[in-house]
Amino acid sequence: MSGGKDRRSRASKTQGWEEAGGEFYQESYPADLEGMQRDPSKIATLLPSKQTRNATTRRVRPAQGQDTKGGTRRRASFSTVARRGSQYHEMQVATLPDLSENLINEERTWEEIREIKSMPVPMAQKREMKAQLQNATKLRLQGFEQIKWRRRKAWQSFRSKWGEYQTKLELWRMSLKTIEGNFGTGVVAFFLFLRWLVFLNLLLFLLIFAFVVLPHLVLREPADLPCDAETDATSVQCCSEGYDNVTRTAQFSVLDLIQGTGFVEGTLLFYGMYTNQIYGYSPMEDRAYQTARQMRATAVAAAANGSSAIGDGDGGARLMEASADIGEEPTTILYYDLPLVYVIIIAIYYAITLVAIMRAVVRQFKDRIAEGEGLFYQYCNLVFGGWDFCIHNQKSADIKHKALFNEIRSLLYQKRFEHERNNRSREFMLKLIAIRMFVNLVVFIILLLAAIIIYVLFNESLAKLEPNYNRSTVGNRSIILSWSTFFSTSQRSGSVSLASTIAPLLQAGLADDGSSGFDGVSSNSTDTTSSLESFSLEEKLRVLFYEFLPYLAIVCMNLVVPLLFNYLVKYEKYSPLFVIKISLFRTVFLRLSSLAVLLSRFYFLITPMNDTQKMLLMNGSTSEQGQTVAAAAATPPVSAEPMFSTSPTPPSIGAGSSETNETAFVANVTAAALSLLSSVLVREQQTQESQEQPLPTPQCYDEENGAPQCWETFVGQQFYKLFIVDFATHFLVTFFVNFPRAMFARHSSSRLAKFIGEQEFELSKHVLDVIYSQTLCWLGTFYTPFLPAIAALLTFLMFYIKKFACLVNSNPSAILYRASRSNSLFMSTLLISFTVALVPVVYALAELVPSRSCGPFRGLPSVWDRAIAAFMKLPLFFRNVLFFFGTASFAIPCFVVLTFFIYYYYAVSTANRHMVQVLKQQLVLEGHDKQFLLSRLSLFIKQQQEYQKRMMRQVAEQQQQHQLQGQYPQHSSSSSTANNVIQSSSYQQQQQQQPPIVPPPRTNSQSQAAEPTPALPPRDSKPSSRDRPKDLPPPPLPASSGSVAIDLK
Amino acid sequence: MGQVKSQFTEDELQDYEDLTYFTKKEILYAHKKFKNLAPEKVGHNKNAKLAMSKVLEYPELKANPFGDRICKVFSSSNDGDITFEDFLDMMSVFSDAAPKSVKAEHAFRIYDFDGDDMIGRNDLKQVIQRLVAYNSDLGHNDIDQLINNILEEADLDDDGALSFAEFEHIIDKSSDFINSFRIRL
Repeated sequence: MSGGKDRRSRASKTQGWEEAGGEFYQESYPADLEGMQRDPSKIATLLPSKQTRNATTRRVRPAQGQDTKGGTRRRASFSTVARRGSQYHEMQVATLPDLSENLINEERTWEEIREIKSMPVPMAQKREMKAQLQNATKLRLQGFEQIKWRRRKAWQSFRSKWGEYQTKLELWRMSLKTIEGNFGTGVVAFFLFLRWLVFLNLLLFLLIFAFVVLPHLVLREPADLPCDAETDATSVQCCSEGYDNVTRTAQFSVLDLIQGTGFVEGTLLFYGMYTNQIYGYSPMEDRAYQTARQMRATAVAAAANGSSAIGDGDGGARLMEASADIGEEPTTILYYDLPLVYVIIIAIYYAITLVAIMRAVVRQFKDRIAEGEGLFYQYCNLVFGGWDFCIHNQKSADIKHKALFNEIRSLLYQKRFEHERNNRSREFMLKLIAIRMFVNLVVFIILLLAAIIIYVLFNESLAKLEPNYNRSTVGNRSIILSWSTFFSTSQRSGSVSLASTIAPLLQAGLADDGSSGFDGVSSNSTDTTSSLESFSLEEKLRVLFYEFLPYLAIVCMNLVVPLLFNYLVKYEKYSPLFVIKISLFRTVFLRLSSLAVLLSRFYFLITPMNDTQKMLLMNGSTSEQGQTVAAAAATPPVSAEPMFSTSPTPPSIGAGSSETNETAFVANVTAAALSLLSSVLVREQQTQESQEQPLPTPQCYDEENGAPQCWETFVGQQFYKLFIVDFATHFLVTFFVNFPRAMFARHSSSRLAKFIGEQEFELSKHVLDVIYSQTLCWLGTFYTPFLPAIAALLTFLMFYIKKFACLVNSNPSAILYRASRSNSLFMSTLLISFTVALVPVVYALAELVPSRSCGPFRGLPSVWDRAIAAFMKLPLFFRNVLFFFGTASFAIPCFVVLTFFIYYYYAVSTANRHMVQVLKQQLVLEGHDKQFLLSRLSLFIKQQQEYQKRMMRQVAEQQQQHQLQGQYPQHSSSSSTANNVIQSSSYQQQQQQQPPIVPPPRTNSQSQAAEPTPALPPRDSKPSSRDRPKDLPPPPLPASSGSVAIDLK
Repeated sequence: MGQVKSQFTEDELQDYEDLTYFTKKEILYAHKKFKNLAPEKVGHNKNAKLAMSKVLEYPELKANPFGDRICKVFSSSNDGDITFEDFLDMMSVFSDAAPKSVKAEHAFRIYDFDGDDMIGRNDLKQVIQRLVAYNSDLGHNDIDQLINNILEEADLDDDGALSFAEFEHIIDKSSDFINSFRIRL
């Protein structure tokens, strides 16, 4: 009988409910009518659309037909057919005449078994279902289908196995759980972010390692041509040899390890040690090298013999030939072009990073957009997603309660806050605006001061370390000269004596070094420290101190200034959310500005030398290209000048050949246009100065300005140092400052101690720490290929530091951090800093001239030139294709098409948004309709019932006369006799009406099955003030009607 | 491990693996956790039924303001007492692998205090009160205001209560739910 009901309700779903008529409701929901009359809307809960899957399953457990309905309705469409045909196969027998069609095959059964787990029913029942499914008759799959299914099964089991391993290998699983339990998901998001960074860095390092470092280790480095100082003292080979000599002489020392100087500089850690040679297995090349070697030997011998001029010229010419020989690439033989790979790998490195960040950002971008369009359920999200179910600690739970309370209140008060803000008096507003402007001014001054301090300290430390470093010229270069001198003089007063003691010493060491070898082109910081071996430990420490001074300053400022900002922001009376944003913004600004100052210092250190390099390049390229004897002859006189003579190269120098002069001039003009106005001025000054001096010379590098011999390595060292200092401060601050503070607060009850010691886990600050070091990594990778590895390692350690800071040092914050919100915060900040970091790197790659003495790009006008050269070697077809991408005929159509696409998607999204609006309105209308209809219906039912009652009474009166006492024994005992009688009669009618649809035996069996289980689960409702009477059964169910029907028999 | 394993046959484990979002290892681990709640009782009968008060000693449930509701929803006897299979069901739903729809379904039942398949005003009130731990600072007016806001946002058909469909819709849009409705084993 209930089967019949089932069928009917299904029919009502498909064909509209008129068919069922009022009788339908009477039949299925006999008991709730009273409640319905009082509250007609209650009937709404009975509608199919309002029912959860479980609501139906749970109560009518054995009659699984209900479950099917619910399940299929919500399930993805693919399983719909399968489900209906499968576990309820039995039911289908009753209702559908054609059985064979619905017999399922093994694959479907298997799929359904896997679907069971998503059903909200107890385990016992799930097992039952599974057993039922397994025992059901099913078709065996044949042939290819069988294979396909097997494969799917195997794949599935492999995936679950893999998942198991993955969870086992998952890094920091338990740590994350602990943090989550104490601080909630928002903070865990930070740690997940850390982990993500570790993996990102590792991946990037593996990339670099595999393609750049490993070849260098494995492949045999082809020997370069030997240096021929007499021909061209500034040739790439000579410069390299000079640099090699410097680095090779260094010995092991611990200090070097953290400074990145000395012997460390000679390792693959830094850019300088990578070769500019092409690795290859070519016998040709070897032979060419051999001949070159021999020629060189003869040339040297000839020079020694005294016939210097002729021999030299001869040797030089032959050398040229040899190099031309080498220049012709042996095309058929495998070779590995390290410099090219270096460029490409760096490009890929940044591309991968960008993609990784974008992928993470896009995921959150969707949420953001939804939030922006007002589709976001602010309140619902807070209430239903507010509690972190993972919290397992009572104390954190309390704090979470408090945080939620705050959040709810601030959300509620937001409107009130706005209201209040609008009602502020004019005077108050004026005052507030004044305060805010003042605070912003103060913030600006602080930032400026910070920048100046870094600038000055950097100058200071350079001046201490580089005796040749010319403070006045450098100082002139900057607009804030007056500032800097003012500060530096005031600061220097204390350390004047020190400077005076150290400078001569250093110079003495240098002089030694310089005289020891002919090509002892030295006096950069590395060399200084290497020659410092003879100094006392105290001196070493002093040098160390100066070397780290700017970085210490930066790090200290990063620690202190944000606190100041936090303090200031209180006076500005912004809304709480805005406070977080603006302090974050200011802190980011601080960090970036300090980095910018640092970079600009590097830049000014490098640019003068850059010009020299450009000059040399012009010289070099003309001579190498085989303007041969003339050019080669032209250079020696210039280089024959004393090496250490002076000052940067003025434009007028390359007097040797007219062509050179011209090109050099052009180069200088462009360089001048590029550099800042101030530096141009300075250069003019310098040229004037230099004209008074004897003939200037090209050099491998510009030592007068304290420029390092290999500036790439120098920059790399600086980032290396900064990175390490940054990490060390986190370590020290966490363990030696914050930890005692926390201990102090914990074990002392005084309020002062609490004030000093209690720390909240401020997410934004910690995020910034991590992002900052990541930015350093991105900036420095080109110059320090090992930086990603160091970053991965240190980030790995950072996890533990932050974990300690989180679990031991601080209390959970009273601000509610939501996982989604904090995630998007991390990623957007990361993206910003990535873009910012990319700008100087790209500029350096494209514009700056690599040093002549080191690195894979020595002797090239810019790093990017290597890539362009490689591009030019491509077959013409590819080149044309690639060129085509750059032409307007491609770009403009492309642009137009993209614009069309954007417009199209914009239009679609607008339409969708409109549709959402319309549908929402429609839903509301439907709801109203439904309520209206329901109230009408309940009214109708009420009338009907009254009518029937009247009829009943009449019938009963009649029947009494015919004495029918014992016919309904059970019902006479129940309270609602009248009702049930009506029901039973209506059921009987019904059965008589539809015998073909519902075969009686089947109904019997099913309803008997329904009997043993409690038809209704015990109510678990709280004694809340429901307006609905307690004694009423819950929304009545088909099963209950089924049992009534049984009773009748 | 062997001792734990002896409590389950391979078939049972296979069943559990098929019917939950766990692997066999995780199931055994879950059992270990369950056993920790009442070592001797569970040691006797691996599927022993533990009283709700006992189950609520599980740390995550203990701290959770909806702990009792969770127990009731997952209890196969509907009175809050939990057998191991119920526990496994619970953990499976709260695990990372469970899809959003499954979580939403159970969340709906957890928040539906009176079991009328609608989250009405009274249910919402209970939810909010439990969330703020009956903090009396949040007055009745505030709570009413909040409930009004919620219904305004999410009650699409304007009947003064959230049906499951509406709730599922909320969950779909909520960016935090999937993260927060989760208990790591």
